[in-house]
Amino acid sequence: MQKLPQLRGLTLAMVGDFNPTIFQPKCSSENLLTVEEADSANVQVIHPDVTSFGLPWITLTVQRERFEVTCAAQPYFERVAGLVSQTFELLRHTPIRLMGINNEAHYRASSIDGWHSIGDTLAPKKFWTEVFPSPGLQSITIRQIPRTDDLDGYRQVTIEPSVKTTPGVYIAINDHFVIGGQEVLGATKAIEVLRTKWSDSVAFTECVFSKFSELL
Amino acid sequence: MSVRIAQKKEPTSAKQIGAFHDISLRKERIQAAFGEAPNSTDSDTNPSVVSTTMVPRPPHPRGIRLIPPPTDNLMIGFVTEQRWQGYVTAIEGDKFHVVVYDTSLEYEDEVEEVEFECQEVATLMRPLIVPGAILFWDIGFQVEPSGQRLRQSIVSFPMIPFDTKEERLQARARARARFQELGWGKTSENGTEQSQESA
Repeated sequence: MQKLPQLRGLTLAMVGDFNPTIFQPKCSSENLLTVEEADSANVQVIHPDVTSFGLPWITLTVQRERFEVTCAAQPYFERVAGLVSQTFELLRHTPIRLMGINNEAHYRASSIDGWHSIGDTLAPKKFWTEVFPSPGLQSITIRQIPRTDDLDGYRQVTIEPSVKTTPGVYIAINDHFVIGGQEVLGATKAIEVLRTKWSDSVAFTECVFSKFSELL
Repeated sequence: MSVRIAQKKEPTSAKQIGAFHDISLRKERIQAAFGEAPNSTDSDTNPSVVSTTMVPRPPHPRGIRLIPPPTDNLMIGFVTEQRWQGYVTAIEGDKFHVVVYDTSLEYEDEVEEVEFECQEVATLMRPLIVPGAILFWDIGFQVEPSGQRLRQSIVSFPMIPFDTKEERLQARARARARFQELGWGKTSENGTEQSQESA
């Protein structure tokens, strides 16, 4: 039986040039947040350097060069993607250089032995036992570069011991897109990439999580 | 033989505000204040315990700025026990029928028909309930910030638009041009509206 993650997270991150003050819950279109949601938002700061507010299902943080939306409930992931794409369709002249679809999961290991065996599978200890008496895997990142589609960027998977679940494993997938390279493009290109690659990214994520859950 | 020791040139004007000076700054110091723009879109919600690992450059460069405050963990989480994907087959009043299949590999061949009430869908997603629309159905536990787990059934629809406003305008312009080519004249307005819907 496939093992279920204890926690799932999605972070959509964009790197570019942003104006944090225009990202406010009450300034959003009615297609993005309901009036009740906008009114109940937990606004932490709205300042030219940084805006940060939260709703029960997302946390949004915008700095001058980074935009980030985080969600920890899988049923809302589609809504997060819709929120981001529709926001930047409105703000389509915002320069965006990079975009990342980050999926994370914390899995509980069935036993301590099973937990160690994952580390041994991903990073065999034969070499390390000559250096350390008791080596352990802290973090491993495998990156596919260039991407296998026709876009610039990479895909990477990071495995670490979970800090939320003990014994557990943390898996992070960064689907990273370079938007326009040296050329500064508006958000239109980023939104097009998000629209066309979102489903593919979700499928890849589920495939990776499924593969790791078999190890646990 | 006299030896001249190179002395750093420090003109008096260098101490004046706004005056030109050529004092070289170390790369580390420049990075600390005006470091490179971030080039990673990675996120990390699994921060490692306090370590003494060397940090090559400060985490918040680019001058003196406010940084995001630590976020209170007020977000809900969700532990999905089972997830189905499907599509709407029919709408009857305030109910709609869907065909769903399990997304887990073990039960992927199982197809079921389910009836939902429109009110089970979030307000913003209700306009998306149309025959043929794709949807997801999750059953699991919603984890409240307090840690309490509530059993939930959540129906959600993909909200990424298939086309952008610009693409819709382009499609409308193409349709209008095509109608003019065909010489459909007065009916072009109706035809354009029809093509908008199909676009």
